[in-house]
Amino acid sequence: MTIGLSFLCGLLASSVSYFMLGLWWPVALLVGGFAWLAFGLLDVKMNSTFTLLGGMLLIFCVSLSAMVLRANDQLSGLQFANTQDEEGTEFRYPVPLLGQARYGEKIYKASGCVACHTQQVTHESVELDVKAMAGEKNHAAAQEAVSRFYRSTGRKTSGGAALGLPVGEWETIETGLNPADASKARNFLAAAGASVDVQVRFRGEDLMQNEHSNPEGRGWGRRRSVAQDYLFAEPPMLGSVRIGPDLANVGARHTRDALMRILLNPRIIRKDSKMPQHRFLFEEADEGEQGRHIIQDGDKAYKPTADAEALVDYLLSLKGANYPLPEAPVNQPFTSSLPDPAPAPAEEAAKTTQPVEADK
Amino acid sequence: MSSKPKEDEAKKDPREAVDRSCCGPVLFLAFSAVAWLLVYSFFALLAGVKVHASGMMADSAWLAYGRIQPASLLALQFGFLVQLGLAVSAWILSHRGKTVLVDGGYLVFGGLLWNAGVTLGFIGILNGNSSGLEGLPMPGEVLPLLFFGFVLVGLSLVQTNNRRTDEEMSPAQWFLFAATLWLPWVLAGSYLLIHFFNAKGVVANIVDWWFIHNFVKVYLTFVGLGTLFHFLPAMTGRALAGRGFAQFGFWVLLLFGSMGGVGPGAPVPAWLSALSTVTAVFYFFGVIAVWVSLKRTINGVTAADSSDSLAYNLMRLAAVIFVTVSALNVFFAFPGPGSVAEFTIYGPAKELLFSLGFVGVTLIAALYHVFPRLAGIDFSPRMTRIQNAAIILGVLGATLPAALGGLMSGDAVLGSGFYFASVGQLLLFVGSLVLFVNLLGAVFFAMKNCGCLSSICCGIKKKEAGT
Amino acid sequence: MAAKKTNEEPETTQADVSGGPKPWVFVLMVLTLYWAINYLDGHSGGFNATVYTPHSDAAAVASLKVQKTPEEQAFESGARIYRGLCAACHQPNGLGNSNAGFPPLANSEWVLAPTPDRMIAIVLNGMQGPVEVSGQIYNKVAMPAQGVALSSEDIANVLSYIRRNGDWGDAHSLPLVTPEQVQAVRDSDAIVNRSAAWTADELKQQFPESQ
Repeated sequence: MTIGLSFLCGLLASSVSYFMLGLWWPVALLVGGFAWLAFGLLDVKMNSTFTLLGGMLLIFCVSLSAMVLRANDQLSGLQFANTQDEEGTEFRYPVPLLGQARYGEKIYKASGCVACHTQQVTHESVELDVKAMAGEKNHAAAQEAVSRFYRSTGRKTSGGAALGLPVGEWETIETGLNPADASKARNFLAAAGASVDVQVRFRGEDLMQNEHSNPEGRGWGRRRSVAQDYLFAEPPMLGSVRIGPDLANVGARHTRDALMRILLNPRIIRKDSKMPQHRFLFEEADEGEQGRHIIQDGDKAYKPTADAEALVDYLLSLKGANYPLPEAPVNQPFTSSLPDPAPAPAEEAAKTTQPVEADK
Repeated sequence: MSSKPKEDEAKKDPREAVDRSCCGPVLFLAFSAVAWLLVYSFFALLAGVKVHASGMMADSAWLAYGRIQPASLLALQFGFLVQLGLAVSAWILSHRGKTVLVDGGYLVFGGLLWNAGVTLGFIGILNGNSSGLEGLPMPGEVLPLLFFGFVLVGLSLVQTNNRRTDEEMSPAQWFLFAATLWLPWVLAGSYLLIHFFNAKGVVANIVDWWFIHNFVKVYLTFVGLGTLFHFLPAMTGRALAGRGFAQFGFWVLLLFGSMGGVGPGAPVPAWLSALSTVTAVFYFFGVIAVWVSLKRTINGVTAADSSDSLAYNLMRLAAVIFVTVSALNVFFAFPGPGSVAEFTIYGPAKELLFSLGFVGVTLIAALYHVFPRLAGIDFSPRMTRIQNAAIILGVLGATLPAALGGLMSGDAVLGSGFYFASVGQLLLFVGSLVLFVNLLGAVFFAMKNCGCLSSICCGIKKKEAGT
Repeated sequence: MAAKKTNEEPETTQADVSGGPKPWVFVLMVLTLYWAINYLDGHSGGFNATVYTPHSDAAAVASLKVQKTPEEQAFESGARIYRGLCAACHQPNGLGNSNAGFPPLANSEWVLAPTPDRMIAIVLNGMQGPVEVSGQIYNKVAMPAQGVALSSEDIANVLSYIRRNGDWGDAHSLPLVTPEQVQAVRDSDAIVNRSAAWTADELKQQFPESQ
């Protein structure tokens, strides 16, 4: 069979699997590719350059459309998204680079920081904890819902909350669930009329450290990075090697002074740093020049050039992987489980700090 | 005007004519490739040393680690591998097809353009005009230059292949023909999408990953395999066993090697990573098929001509490296092991092992076979011994400790792996320096002794006189 | 050395021994295809642009956005309104500014009344004239009416924030103010027939049950 005829066979196979069997398009593509391989490509004599050329052209188009054009379709329409910062103030994300930060991005690009630093935070898994509270009326139904959930997910039905669900008190149903099981638990309990509360915890060594749920966290972000974070990056310098730390939210971790010192000589901050010094971004300070921007390294004093200032502006603007997005939520604590969680510590803190201030 | 006399010569003594047509262009490309290898190894050594001595050359922006490291990779991939690949392809396509190299001038002119493009890209990166992408770090402006340079060379190669004497094409010809067409397509596609249509946000990275994947999994692999498919049967004097395996491998490698390359944690929709895992698994079927074919061909035989045994052994080593790296690729394509290896220097070390250990060694071995036949003079055997030992130990030394260290220590690799890697890079530098000197010396002696090169020089002189 | 080497090229005859993968290879590939379809089913997130690893599908991602309780939603919305409208005079900490004549809300007997009707009336129509709060008389400025600018739900939320704000004192743990309560006051004759701001005495007279 010739390349063209076999390609038609492949096309037929993929259309059948896409339109009639309802498979996803890449799966259909895979099936079509198989049919094409089986019918034609492996059977042709391969003595004519046109055979080769035809097969190659078709494969090139398949590859381009499956990998690149499809991704472009999905991602090129991204716009601002609404998010909120830690204090609950809503704003439009991502924030475009302003002023010197845009120039700083060029310095970052020119200096090849991407050779050692990534700008992408990953996460490994998500775990959910479910709590529930039942009133007197729906107590029996809620308990039945709990045991139904335990049975359907293959858990022991003897221990834990199945034994007794105290009336009017929050009780942990299960911890460390996956999203599917958690929503099952929530649906069962809500149908039985109980109040349900869910805690979302992300795990991953890139994420914030948390003694309880993520002890190995390195604090490089509150969530994983997604395409939305790089809407204004020219281009996104994602990087592939972490010889140094990830910089996706370096602006939330460091101050201007610390970043300047790291750029001039990282060993001022960390003795065992492998990072090369970037003295070409600094000039020697004049005798007797004073100010916060002067950095002492050994017996010499340096001051940053405009390039260094712009680069640090850019680094400080990097606060990705911090704010929740619909496709990448952040950790969410139990909201209603503990009676009045907020006031007690806040008051205690106020009581302890006030005398100290009074002493001063 | 130029082709007619060549055809006449071909009637007289085909092989002589084929050799003569190849001589100039192939040696030109090979020589500039080896020069770029020297540039690569020097800058890679420099970059490695900068990791140990963080204050060294800190006053020079041109020599920042982030600039010399991508610049050195550009020299390796586009300067050395592509050019030597083209030189060897030209030789194989004309010899396998028993026809003179058509329009060798295109080869020289295209090679000049290509060299100009790589040089401008190299200087552009050092100058701070890099594009910020990893697969195509050179400034976008030099990509059209590279494209047209390659297309000129490719025109000559494709025409040569079309004028082959036998109607039948052998696997070596498929692979080299496909590689010659594939790189300009992918290069042009990436250039248009990234720089002309200004791909937005991470789409630029997706295109870049797609380019890297196609460059390594299709272009470099096909050049390496095409060379092996020609030389392993040729040197042993055996016929290639299993044309069907080669055909199966060809289409499977092409279909599944052209898709993928997105890591498990990349900030792009999950289906891109999932699709990459699936294609990596299918790709391995092609690798196995190719391996079976090559293995059956060379099983239990040695080089027919003892002078080829060095090249033959190097190629066998390269084939083993190819299969090993491919098997590792399948394993690390899965999200579990993949996320352990992701962001560690395992990735770059493995890429280097593949591009230098498999493709580079194959092409250098091919050069050992090709060069004496073209220049009429052999490399100095003592220097050859030194450079081989240095290059192979260097490749292994620069990659294996780094890869292991990367896997063991998680992402920030700040251990002894780097020191070992620097020793490897030093060896590599010594090896490529010796190779360069060796080649330079051999060319110099050939100019003096042999009619082949001097006839070209005379030919140029005649032309100059004529115009 | 200079002796030119011979060009013994392999004869590219039909020498290429044919022979290809056996049928079982293709069976294996079809099995792998079956695996691939399953793998894509589990890991590709339905080829949805908003699903990132390691989530399995869009529904799982959506389920991670835990709905907040009505109390929290009311409290947050009320806090936002308070910061925008009220905090300029009554201060973010609810302590007011006695020098400028802004009475405090924190621990004020007006705020902590058993029913919120008076507070609703003040927000709807504003307040003027002298008023005694926490033992101090305030008579410098009048409070403007907000009844037109804010919906009943907004007023309920901001009053819930004021009356339930634990940071302002232990007494601030009163039940939620509901939009229905606000609407009831808004629809009462006393408000419908009135456009002027309230004075303290009129309020005490109109809403005596609040005492």
